[in-house]
Amino acid sequence: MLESRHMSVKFGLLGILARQSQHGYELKRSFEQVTGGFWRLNPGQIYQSLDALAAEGLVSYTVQPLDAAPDRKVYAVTESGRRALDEWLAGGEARVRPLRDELFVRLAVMTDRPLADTLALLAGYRRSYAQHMRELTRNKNDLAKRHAGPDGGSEPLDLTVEGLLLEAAIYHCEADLRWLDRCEAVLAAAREDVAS
Amino acid sequence: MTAKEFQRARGGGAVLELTEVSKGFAAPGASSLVMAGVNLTLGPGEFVAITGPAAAGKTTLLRLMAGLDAPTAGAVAVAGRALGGLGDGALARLRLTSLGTSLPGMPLLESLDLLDNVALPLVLAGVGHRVARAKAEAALRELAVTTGASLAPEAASPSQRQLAQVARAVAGDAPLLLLDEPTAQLGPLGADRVLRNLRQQVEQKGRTVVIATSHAAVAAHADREYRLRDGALEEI
Repeated sequence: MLESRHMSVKFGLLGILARQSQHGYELKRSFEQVTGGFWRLNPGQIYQSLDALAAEGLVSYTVQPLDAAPDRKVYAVTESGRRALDEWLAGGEARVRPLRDELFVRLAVMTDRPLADTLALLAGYRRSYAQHMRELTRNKNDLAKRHAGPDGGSEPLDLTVEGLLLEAAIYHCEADLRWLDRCEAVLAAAREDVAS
Repeated sequence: MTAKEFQRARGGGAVLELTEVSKGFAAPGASSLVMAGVNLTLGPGEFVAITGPAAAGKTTLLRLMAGLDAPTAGAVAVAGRALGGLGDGALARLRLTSLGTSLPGMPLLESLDLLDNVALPLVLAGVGHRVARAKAEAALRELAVTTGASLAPEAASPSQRQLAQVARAVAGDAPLLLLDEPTAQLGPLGADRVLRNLRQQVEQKGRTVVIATSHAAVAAHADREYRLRDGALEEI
């Protein structure tokens, strides 16, 4: 899982550089934008990945001197970087995302606690997911608003993909909320059985 | 500061106010309370979703807000007027001027085509025929019902009928819109169109929108969500 996330960041950065050379901070912004704003990277992750890519010879950089700030490195993809990207895009098996969530573990070890505690835990998760979903929906609507051409023309593919990625996050959130509904209904019914 | 005090402080009256509202239905040998002591105050420009499990009473709550049902106890006020004190005629007039609704039990009329169905509440509210039809046409067009406006409801598809019901709710100038599952018959693109249209009603016209839905993805379009469960309404 960790390995696959690491690879996604590495090749995501490579893919962005294959379109246009960029410096570290630009790359961070580009990565977050193309992944719909729900995959945030800290600067450490960016520079660690770039160092690894440079060490493997997949990217090169030139140092750009700046007057008012420290010099910065502008990264570009190398020929072997392009080949590695092509291989990554074409190859590999399609793996099902593993379901690992802190809530699952909490529920599993909570069965000997009062049911009210479990229901309160679920209610807390529901609030967080509902809030997150409103935020994602706002982002999706903002995206649609920003890119609705006056003639209602078609969107550039980048923006369409950004919208689809946002929708992926929304669907995941929706599935989690439906499952929370189910948990709540089943556990509340169990409580009534115990009480009667 | 309570929501009500906040409303007063910013000088806007409540568009909708539910005070200690309870609703029960008589059943043979017993009566069951669907909701008890529900309070809710909404000002202009609010977009709210009422959610909850099936049969939690979401539709009942919307019908109480619209004055289609009377509460067993408590009071409902729309645009500052208590519904409880109004006779049938006054209630009907208030609905025509202050409420845009898409609710079960208020179907499209089969004797009119979709366009005239959308225009009808405007005409009944005193808007001239020509203006009413122009407004109805605009509302349908914004929801992408370009063909089919001249169909009778029976001949229209379920999605065209639902879009016409939404258009009927938004076509006038009512400050409060109440819609029950406004996207149930629509595909994802049609649903997005309806929900974005409702968002525009809120942001561009300062209208207050309340939708009831059991779908989290629909509720997420609102600014706030209230969940109805075991007869109580809780903001989540």
